[in-house]
Amino acid sequence: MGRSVNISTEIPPPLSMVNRLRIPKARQKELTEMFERAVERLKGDEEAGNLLQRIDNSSAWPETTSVEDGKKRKIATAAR
Amino acid sequence: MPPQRVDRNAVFLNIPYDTEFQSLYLAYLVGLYPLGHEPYIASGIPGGKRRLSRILSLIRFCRYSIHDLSRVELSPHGLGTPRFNMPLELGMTITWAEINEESHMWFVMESTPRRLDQSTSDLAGTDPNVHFGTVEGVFSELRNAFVAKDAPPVPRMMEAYRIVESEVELILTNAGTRNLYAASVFKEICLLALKAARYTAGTGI
Repeated sequence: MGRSVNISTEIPPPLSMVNRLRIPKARQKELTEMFERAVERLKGDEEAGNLLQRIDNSSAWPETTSVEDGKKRKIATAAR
Repeated sequence: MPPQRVDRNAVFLNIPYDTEFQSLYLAYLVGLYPLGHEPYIASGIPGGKRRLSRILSLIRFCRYSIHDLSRVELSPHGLGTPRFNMPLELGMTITWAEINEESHMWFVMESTPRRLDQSTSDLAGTDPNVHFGTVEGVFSELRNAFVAKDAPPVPRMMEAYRIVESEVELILTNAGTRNLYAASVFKEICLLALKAARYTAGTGI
């Protein structure tokens, strides 16, 4: 009660737990496919996230030109 | 009362069935499987048995129970009466556990330290597991309650949570309901949580 219990259960949980849920086989298959798609999608998101992080941290990118600089350059080009 | 089989991996979840609690509800379902346990809720049992009878059957069947009292507060709807269901079921469980000490163990979860002292002072001396109303907090406290060998770290459990959470909308649409606690929805979330537990443990889906 409000205290910890040392438990030696099987980790990961046995697949027999699936049977106890009594979900029809066809629906189980759909859910498994759904799960696999979710894993792939999250992996993709993670890779995209890592890529963005790498881009953000990259020093290879040139300093962006400020609006003010842009205007000055345009004026300079027109004068020429 | 006839003797009933006790399942040593089964955990009865005594939780509020409301929309504000949904993310913590998902956290309990996702968090129990990787610790080797199976969640059970009262609405997860089909059939027309009286609600209290169903709950009592579950308390007798499950070796453990978790009583989340974090939302024991005045209801914002109707007459603004306090929500007594969770404490009522905790009372039933304490009685059962006192009579059958070897067959049941219960845990109290709270969102704030010392809140229990004010809401249920008769439980003085009971140390609740405080999850601070967060998913990570639920995972952390489940790991503290069920100290299991090879328990996955909380970040792995968070990974499993994200996978399951991303599919909830599809499950609800398929079931034609917005009720995350409905029996069929509960079962399907459990299946995904089980698969996520196996996946994050690296033993396949």
